[in-house]
Amino acid sequence: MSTFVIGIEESRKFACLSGDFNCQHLDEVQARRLPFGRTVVHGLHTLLCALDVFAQTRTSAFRLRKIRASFTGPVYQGDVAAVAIQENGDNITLTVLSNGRTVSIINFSVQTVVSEQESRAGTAVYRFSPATLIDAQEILGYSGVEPLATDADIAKSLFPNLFSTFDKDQTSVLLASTNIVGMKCPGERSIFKYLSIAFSEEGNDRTLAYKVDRFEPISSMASISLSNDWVKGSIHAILRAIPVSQTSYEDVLQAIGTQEGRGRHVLIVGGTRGMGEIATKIAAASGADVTIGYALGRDDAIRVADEISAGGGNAMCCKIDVREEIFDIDAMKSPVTDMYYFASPKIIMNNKEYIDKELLRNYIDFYLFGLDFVIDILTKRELLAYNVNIFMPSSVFVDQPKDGAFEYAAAKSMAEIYLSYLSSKHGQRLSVTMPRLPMTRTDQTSNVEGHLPSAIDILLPLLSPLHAAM
Amino acid sequence: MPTIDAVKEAIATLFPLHTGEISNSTTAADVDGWDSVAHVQLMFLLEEISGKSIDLAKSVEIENVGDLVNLIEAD
Repeated sequence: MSTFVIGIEESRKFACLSGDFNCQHLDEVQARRLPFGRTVVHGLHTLLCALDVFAQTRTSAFRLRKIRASFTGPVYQGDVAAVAIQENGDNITLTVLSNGRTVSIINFSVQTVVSEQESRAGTAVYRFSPATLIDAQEILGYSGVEPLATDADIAKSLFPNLFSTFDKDQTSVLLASTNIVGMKCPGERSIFKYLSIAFSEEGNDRTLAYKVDRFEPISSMASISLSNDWVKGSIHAILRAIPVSQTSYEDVLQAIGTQEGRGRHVLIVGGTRGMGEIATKIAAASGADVTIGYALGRDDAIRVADEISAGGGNAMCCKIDVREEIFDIDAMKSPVTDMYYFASPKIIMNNKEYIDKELLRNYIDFYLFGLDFVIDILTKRELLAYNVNIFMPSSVFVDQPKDGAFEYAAAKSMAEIYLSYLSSKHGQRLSVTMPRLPMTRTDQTSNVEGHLPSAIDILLPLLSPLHAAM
Repeated sequence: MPTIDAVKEAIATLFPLHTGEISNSTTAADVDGWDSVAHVQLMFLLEEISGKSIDLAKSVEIENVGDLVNLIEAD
């Protein structure tokens, strides 16, 4: 099996080659709030890398007759992807695996090129432009025309084997498909699921037309036809959910109605979005001074702090990246009386039959070692008040097993045990609250169907008594 | 093309790693990867292959490939 690794630099090059600058591939801050939780490799980049592996087995130039590709899972930047090649006569299947799961299946047939023909693709190096925002109401019937172009230098640098033997025009069609999905339709909120293209040898068109023929609103799946006089195909792409907006500070203020937290200094690690954002607003609305700990989302932290300040609260921001063990401790102006620990990676369910050690390690890094790192630094720098409250949300999955959630629940359970020991050691000086919470409507669950309680409904009854008891 | 062959072609296209025989009694659980999202994709593919419109709401109520064939042929 041959392998390849695509990093952020290769993804940036691929964006310049294809024109697909969708944020889920290039913007690690925005990608935190999207379904994969981290930046991922373009599906077509994976496909072309797999074809590049296949091209190593060819001695003569080739074209595709037809190609079908399913994108069943993400390839994260920096992760190894492996390609298995199965040939059955003219029919070739490439199976791409990453992190132990099948992420793409590419099925195609090829023909040897006997005579070169004049290229129909132009040359273009794309520059960044924002992707189109289309909502579910306007997507059906959406159409457009995309020019066909390939930059030989970038293509050669990314796919050296492929570009020496593969048809430039067909490369431009494959590149246009990711440009259409990632930038035009569905655009910014897209996930590429499936591509099917049949090529004919005759035809001169230099553009590719696309149109949304079908849209299924429950799964948010669009079927997009592709056509010109030598290409006929279709794409399936999901219009993904909008990132979840949390309750405004003004509404939290109204829900709290008291200033029981006055005189407290609450540090919220991971306080920029989701449950952490709401916990920050509850603490500030109760009259406490809050410090919002952020890892990558500095702009999100400033947004929350500004919203609190505009509502009469007192908030500041502090960089705390528990994975990298970075804590801008000098930004802390006074001892912490309360620490809420919401730092979390993207919560991923394990669909394998065995324990995913890498996933478990990642959760432990955040929930156990990250928690210990923050407490350790605050203690050493004498920035913990004599009496301290620690709030760490645990999960109902600790005692209510859910398929695929073992690693997540195990790490949360370890954090519970850690805090129990800490509490036992420090006696009444340290008060620990670690409720086992149900799934809540946040970015982590934006693609979960059905009703989920809001973060404010879950956290308000839990955090308000903490402040009332101070 | 007989409808059952169109269904077989669509399943083979979307789930190329599936090696089992497809018959009227085949269910989604028999085909690895045939989840709710893939089901919608399968219906889109079937529409392309068969040239017939499929009622997606009714399609989620089918229990097996035989039901799917009947659904397509009823429209």
